[in-house]
Amino acid sequence: MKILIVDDSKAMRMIVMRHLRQAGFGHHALDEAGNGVEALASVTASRPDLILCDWNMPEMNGLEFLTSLRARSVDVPFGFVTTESSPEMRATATSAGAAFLIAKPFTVEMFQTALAPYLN
Amino acid sequence: MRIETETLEQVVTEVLATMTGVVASPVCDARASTVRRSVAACIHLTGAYTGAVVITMPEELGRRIAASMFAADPSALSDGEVMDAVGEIANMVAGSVRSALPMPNAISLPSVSEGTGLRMDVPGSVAVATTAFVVDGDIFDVVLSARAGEA
Repeated sequence: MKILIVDDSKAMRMIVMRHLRQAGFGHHALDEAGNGVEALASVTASRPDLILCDWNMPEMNGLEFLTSLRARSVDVPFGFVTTESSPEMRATATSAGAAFLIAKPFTVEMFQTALAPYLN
Repeated sequence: MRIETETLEQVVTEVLATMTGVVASPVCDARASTVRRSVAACIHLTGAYTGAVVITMPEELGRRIAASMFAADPSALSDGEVMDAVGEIANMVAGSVRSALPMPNAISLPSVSEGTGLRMDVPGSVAVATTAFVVDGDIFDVVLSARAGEA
């Protein structure tokens, strides 16, 4: 399977990839994008099976990216990895079509729990 | 709105330990030295609470923290990668602190500066919680400020 990691911080993308490996998902193909615009192009080009996306990003934020995907009838499983973890933000994410939300700072166990239904 | 210094300390130590494995110990009555080259990252909060979170640390410490995040040798990292890492630490600290502040509020993207004699201030705001930490002999500080009148 192919996982697209979207975050404007390269350091955070590295940490997410490390957590994926430590969670036992390192055998999946990993791709990166730095914002929603880049991620939309990546989705069109490579059709990921799962998207892990930050919320606050320049150019196009995570919520706008998710909304754009659903408007184009792209129903790939989508999870936020973000500091935006209030009940209101979680409700907004769910309403927009997100499958889960992992709050920063996160643990390997949080990745295992959230991603297992989509990767195992 | 008051936030306890202990809350800020807890957030910072948890973010660093969880995301970088770096152990930071709170120290009293200290501030990061800006005599050496430093990195400062700022996240603004706007909404029911308007203020900012500013982290200031020696560049060498920022480089070591970045090295933990990138799983790379500190000397192999660019200045941009160090600033990216410190900005992301500030982002996570602000994101965690805001849950203890009046909602709704929104957080900005990080603003990060690097230089000697560096001190980042937010005009029109006052510090409501200031805390400092030591990591392997290097001191860094974290300041939560609020717009004057809200503190």
